Amino acid sequence: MSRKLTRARKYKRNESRLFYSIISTWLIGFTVFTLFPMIFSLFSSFTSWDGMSNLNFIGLKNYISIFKTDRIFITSLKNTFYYVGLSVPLNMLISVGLAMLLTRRSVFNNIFRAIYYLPTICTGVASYIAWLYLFNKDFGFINILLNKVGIPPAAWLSSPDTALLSIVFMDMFICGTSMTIVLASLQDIPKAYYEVADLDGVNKLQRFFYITFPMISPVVFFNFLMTLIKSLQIFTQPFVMTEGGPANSTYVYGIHLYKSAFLYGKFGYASALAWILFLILIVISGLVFFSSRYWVFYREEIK
Amino acid sequence: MDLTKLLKGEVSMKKTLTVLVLVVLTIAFLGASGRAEKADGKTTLTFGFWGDTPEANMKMELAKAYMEKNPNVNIEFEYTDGGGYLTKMQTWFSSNTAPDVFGVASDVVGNFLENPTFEDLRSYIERDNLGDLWSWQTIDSMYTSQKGSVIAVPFISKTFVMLYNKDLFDAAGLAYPTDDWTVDEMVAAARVLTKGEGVNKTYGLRWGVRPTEFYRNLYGNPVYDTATNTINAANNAEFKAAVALFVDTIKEGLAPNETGGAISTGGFETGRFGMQLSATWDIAPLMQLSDSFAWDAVMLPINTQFNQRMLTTFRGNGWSINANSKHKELAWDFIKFMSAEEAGQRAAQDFGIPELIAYANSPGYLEDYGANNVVYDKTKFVKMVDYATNFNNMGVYAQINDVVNEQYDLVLAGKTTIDQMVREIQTQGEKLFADF
Repeated sequence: MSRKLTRARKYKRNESRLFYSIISTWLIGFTVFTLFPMIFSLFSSFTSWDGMSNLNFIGLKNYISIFKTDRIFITSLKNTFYYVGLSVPLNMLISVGLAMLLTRRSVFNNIFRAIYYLPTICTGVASYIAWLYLFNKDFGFINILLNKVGIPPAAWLSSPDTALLSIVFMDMFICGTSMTIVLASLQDIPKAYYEVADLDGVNKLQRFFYITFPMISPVVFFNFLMTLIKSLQIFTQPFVMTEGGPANSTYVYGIHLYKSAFLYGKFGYASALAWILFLILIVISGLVFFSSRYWVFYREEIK
Repeated sequence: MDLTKLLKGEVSMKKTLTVLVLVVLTIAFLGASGRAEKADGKTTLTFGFWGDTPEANMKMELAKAYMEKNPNVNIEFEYTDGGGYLTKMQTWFSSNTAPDVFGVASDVVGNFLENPTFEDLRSYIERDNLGDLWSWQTIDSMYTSQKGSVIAVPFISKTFVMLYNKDLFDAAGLAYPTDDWTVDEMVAAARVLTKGEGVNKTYGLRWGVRPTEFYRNLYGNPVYDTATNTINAANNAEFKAAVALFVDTIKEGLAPNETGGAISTGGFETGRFGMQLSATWDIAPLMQLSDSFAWDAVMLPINTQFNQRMLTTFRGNGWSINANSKHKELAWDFIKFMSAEEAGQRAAQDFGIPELIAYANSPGYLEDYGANNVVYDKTKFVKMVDYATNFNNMGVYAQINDVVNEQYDLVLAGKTTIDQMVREIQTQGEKLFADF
């Protein structure tokens, strides 16, 4: 009996040894490239570090300045939430809608899948510059199309009223990844469910809300969380296309963080901004996780 | 270490992890030390620079020419596009990994003048007796620290002029502008030249994304003073007139609104603009369009109200040496090749005014119009040096520039007035300088 126990313990010890051996490379990478920068960033957020000189400890001064005197902080936060509030639901709706359309039997399905996925694989900056041309007031394709139906041209990116909306509109087309994940999930739904539903005479809306959505809700939840986190960190689109203008209308949190560090030379302050964003991300992600118990359905629950 | 022993548990976990850590660190060290000091017996210099494709190519060609001249030298490039160069530079400085030779721009270098990464080049200049080759005014105003260290040697400088499309002027029956023209004449010409709508629109003027750095000090009374760190917006008639000029011409439809910070989607080279506020770096692409349309350059116009010619921002580009470089003498020799020799300056002439005084004033430069022989009046760029103002866009000045930009955009969008704008800039600017 005791020999058996010793052998079991030894096996377990060997197994954990193998486990640690295999993940040690990742652990070292994580420590050097993620954990250390995070700790350093946390420490520097309490300093007046300018990226070059010594790190002078100033306590909570950066955090106090952010909340008390930094008017752009509020502007950037508002713009970011505005972007998230519009782009995340739109991305979800479009990815689910497109995926549902692509599950229909059609000889062109593969072509459409490739077309819808294409914007996702295009290099970000290159496609944003292409969109700059599309949004151009005088010779942009969007205004030319609108002109054909009698709508006057708009200064899409040059007006504070439409600049951020234009970026949201552009991002609608970059939902290939979410769409593919939903598509895979849709194809995983047993057909028998729909056959039974048909026998019961349910309509299309009921089919969607009582069968389709509950079955794909785990991947919708995953997509939602990932898109939310990515959207809260938005930077490249407004930075490349408008640099945060006009009149700070596209000045999102990421731009504020970047400018504070690299243009204003306030690395300590930027670190504090980064940690505030990190806390916001944790709180929002926590809320999403909490809400998931009310709308995400896992098949294991009915076993 | 035998894997079977490891699996059997004959090697302790502590030992296993220690070995693994050592392996990973060794691999990392080998990777990091991949940049050999000597490759094939050659001395390797690292060279950091920025630029769009033509400018980057020019700098790489210069390095290649130096390598041809010095076969024992190998130059490795660390290229970054213009937008990312500032970030790259700060990363170099904070991680102590700056290249042996690297480029600096006058609009951002002000914040780094006291940085220990820069080798003091004063002794090199004095030792080789090169002081008269370049303008000391440029070196002192842009590249000299408070302690008197020279952190960079000038390479090229960049000024602005007004380019005009001769074909459009001819078609409109307008006389070509001359150096004594006025702002009112410029606006009047723009009105005549502006035609059409939508895809057929021809604009009389194009400011591009430049108002940002121009209205700050267009007529000689800057909105903030970098020497005293004071803001001067509230009662600044020159500043208000400058903002009014840009806003009014855009609102009237004489110039497109590109001032939101958006990247330009095509400029003077498209032939859709009668006149364009243009820098030296705008010339290189135009040199490739010899047959498209005729064009020339004229000095910026004069404002009769203030009896002041519009000032151009003056941007200098220079070369620095990393104080921690192991090959400082070689780095200095490479810099001399680019900045003190005619061949190096000739290669850069399409991107800025050569800083080598003798060459900049010689027919060799002024009458060299490139392979396509696109003739334009180069002297206009040189003459504008006398009407130049430095532009600083780092630190607190960048913050104030951003406040000015935001307020300007609001005026342009009709959401505030110029008087409200200057009051807001005064308030915000005072706060920023007080916190500085």
